[in-house]
Amino acid sequence: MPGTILENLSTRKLSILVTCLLICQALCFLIGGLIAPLPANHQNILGMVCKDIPGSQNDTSVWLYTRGKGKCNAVSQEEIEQHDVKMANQIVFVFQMPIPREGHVLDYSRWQQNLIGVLQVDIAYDNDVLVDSHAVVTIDARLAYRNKEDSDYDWKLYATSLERRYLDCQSIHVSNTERLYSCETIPLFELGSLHHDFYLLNIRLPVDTDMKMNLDVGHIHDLQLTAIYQNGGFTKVWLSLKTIFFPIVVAIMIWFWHRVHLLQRSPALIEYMLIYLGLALTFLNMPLEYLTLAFDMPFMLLLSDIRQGVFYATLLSFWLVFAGEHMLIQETGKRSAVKNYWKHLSAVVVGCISLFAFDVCERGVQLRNPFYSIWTSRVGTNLALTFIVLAGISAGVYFLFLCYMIWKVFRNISLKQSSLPSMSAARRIHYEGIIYRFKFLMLATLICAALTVIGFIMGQIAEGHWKWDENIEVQLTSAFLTGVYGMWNIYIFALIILYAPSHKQWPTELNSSNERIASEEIEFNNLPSDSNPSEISSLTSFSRKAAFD
Amino acid sequence: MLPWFILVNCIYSSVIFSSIVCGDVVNGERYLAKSAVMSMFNPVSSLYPGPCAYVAASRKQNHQCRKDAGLPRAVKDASQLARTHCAEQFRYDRWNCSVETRGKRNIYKKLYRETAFVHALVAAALTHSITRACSEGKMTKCTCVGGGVGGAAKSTSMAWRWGECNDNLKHGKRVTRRFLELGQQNSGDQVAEMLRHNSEVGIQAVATTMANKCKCHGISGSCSMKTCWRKLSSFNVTAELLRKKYYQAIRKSPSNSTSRKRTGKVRKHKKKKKASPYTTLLYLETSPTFCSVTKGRRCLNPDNCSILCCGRGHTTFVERFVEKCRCRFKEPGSFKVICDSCKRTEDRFYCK
Repeated sequence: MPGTILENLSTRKLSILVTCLLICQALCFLIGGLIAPLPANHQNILGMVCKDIPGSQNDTSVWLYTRGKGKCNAVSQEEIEQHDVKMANQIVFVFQMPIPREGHVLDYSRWQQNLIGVLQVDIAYDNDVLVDSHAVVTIDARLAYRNKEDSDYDWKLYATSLERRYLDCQSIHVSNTERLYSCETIPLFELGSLHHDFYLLNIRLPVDTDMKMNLDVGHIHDLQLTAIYQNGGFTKVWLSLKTIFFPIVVAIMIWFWHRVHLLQRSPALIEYMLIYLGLALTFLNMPLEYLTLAFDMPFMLLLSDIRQGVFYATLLSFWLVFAGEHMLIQETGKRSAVKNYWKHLSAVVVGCISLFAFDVCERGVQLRNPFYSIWTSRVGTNLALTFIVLAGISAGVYFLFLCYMIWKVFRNISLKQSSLPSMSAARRIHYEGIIYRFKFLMLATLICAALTVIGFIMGQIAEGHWKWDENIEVQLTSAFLTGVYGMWNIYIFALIILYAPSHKQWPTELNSSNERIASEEIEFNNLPSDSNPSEISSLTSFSRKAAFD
Repeated sequence: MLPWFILVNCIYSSVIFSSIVCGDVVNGERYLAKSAVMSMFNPVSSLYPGPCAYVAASRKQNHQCRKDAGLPRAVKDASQLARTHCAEQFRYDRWNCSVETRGKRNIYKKLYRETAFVHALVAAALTHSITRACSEGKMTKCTCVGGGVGGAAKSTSMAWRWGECNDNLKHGKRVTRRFLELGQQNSGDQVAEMLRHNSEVGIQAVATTMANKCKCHGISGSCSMKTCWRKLSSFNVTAELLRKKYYQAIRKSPSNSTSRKRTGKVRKHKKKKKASPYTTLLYLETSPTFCSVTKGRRCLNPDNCSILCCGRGHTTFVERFVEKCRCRFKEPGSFKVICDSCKRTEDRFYCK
């Protein structure tokens, strides 16, 4: 029975392969660092205050905009200050996105993918109205869109909602005589697709004595919207990477499955897991974003969450199964299947399901109402926290379990290593080689996982510093994103290649059609006592043999 | 806001809340300050000819106003911001932010602590209002093309799509420096260099008072992706910071050794360390006591009065006010408002 390519590959070939992969990895990092811009950008937009058209409170066909023909006239701050109730119910905060630059009217490109709106309120300090940290502001938000070919007044309704948000303000002393409010940002909307050219947001803050609406929020004199969008350049680079990785991974999977089916046995569990992993990666790699350039696909945010979730879930499951299959003390004769691992995998399943439930509650509902957020209601917050805590616990359980299993594998290996000197020299070299390569792969996994974590942390720190006053040559955040993405692709690519069954000992008619493997490779011989056809790894066969002793 | 905040630069008479005719700064004298700062710190009595309209602008400044339609308005806002906040900050100080010191003298004649403050405040106000105007979409000269790969060669809309549009603050700083002509180090004389320094202090003050805000938008809204930006804080915070800097200002002895060359070197050296050299205000001359102009000024409390009134003592008045209060809507959803009248008494102290 043939082993895997990893075991039969000479050190020279292995090092050439690893070098190539490392070069690819470096390329991925550099592409992100040197070509791609920051992954996301923002525009700060100050709300222009316009006088409301009477009777438009319930009429969503009335739109106030600040640029173009038929624009509304801005109301000055002084005019509002002098009014007894600060013109409550009479004013609208108008945000027209995007704001022009250098006299050019800019428009959103579909390459910019998504739009997230965050609101910042400035509240005037008033001794009579004390805004407490749990004050709720009621926002009548309406979002409209327009395209380049439409006329200036032709705004069409995109979404409307009456939303309640916690203000979370703290009064701070500026000096002995002066106080100010410092308020947290309010997440307002999330659009999963940026299909149209221009967007318009009209915000009213209805004051109602009977419904106790906006009575205790004081005088909001400024509203500032931060519109966050994905950078078009980043999307292009990201999509190019996907376009490159997608066919490569598909090809390697086909090659792998073909090889597995050429064998006289049914595929082993590790092989199934590898193909699942490949499928999950292909699902992630699929450049579906090209479709957003033509169609309106607001579910892309949710879908990309699901795609990443599926990929990471498969990867985590693979590691568990991988460690389990190399446990070295399996009972012979029993075929391993995924269902044997249900106890091990339940942590992954619970974690993924709870995260999925959270995502559906947040981004799923946002498909219907982009202003919705699960965090704005007390029940929703508790529900979301439950899901997240559950996912966190599962993650903790998973990692403890994985560490335990890996520790067990290594303990078994070191136990068996003590019996190596009693073997013949040739066999000993082979076994040592296998153990070395197994450890090598474990090391690669550890390095990849560590790099992901480091990349994540570095990404956070790099943004924590305000460096964009100076010219940075390397865009660290993008570099880490593309680097980590490329790394997992390369990692899985390498796994599929190295764990593919070797065709060294195949019948000659098959062998002749494939490349000739030179004699420099170390031939691997199975243990004579091994008769289990389901094994793929000689390491496991070795371990089983050892378990008999 | 109380109306007397707006009455800046005016000599206070004994009657509060009455309008006072504000004196214009005497022209024709050789001022230390650049005319832009002076002109912006004066109340706008009438519109000036030329595109900048609200300030007596130089040819260069008029050129900038002509090129950017939003600039005159931003300059006007900045001028108002500087004047109101200066008066607000120095309400209970001996110097009440008036330009005049005594008689026909004014703070621009020499480089006093006050002159340094006004320069910083005007620069800060201009940076603030231009940054604000940028985020309102009113300024047309807020540029998009930043650094990055071949940034300068790209058109605005290309740069926007690719993702190189910059922070508004950067535009604010740049336009302010250009408008106040801070870029060129003219003639290398000490006074001009110090005024430029003080204006830089003001510009930096806006940047340091900005608040960092972040939003996470990674997978499932986690912080695997995070976008941060800086939010302009209320100008009160900046003005308060500058007032602190006013008290901590350092007096530099006049010397001829501070040449252009040397300051250039210092700046370069500081730039390497990335610590801003623009943290303290600098002045040359000790300020007058301003005691002659505090007569009839209102003070906060007896402690404050003892300083403000220069030992002349103070008088206490009990004043009554009738104010609108508890304003509410007549009926739900209507625009009609009814208010009650509330009576309030307050002890007020005035300098003798």
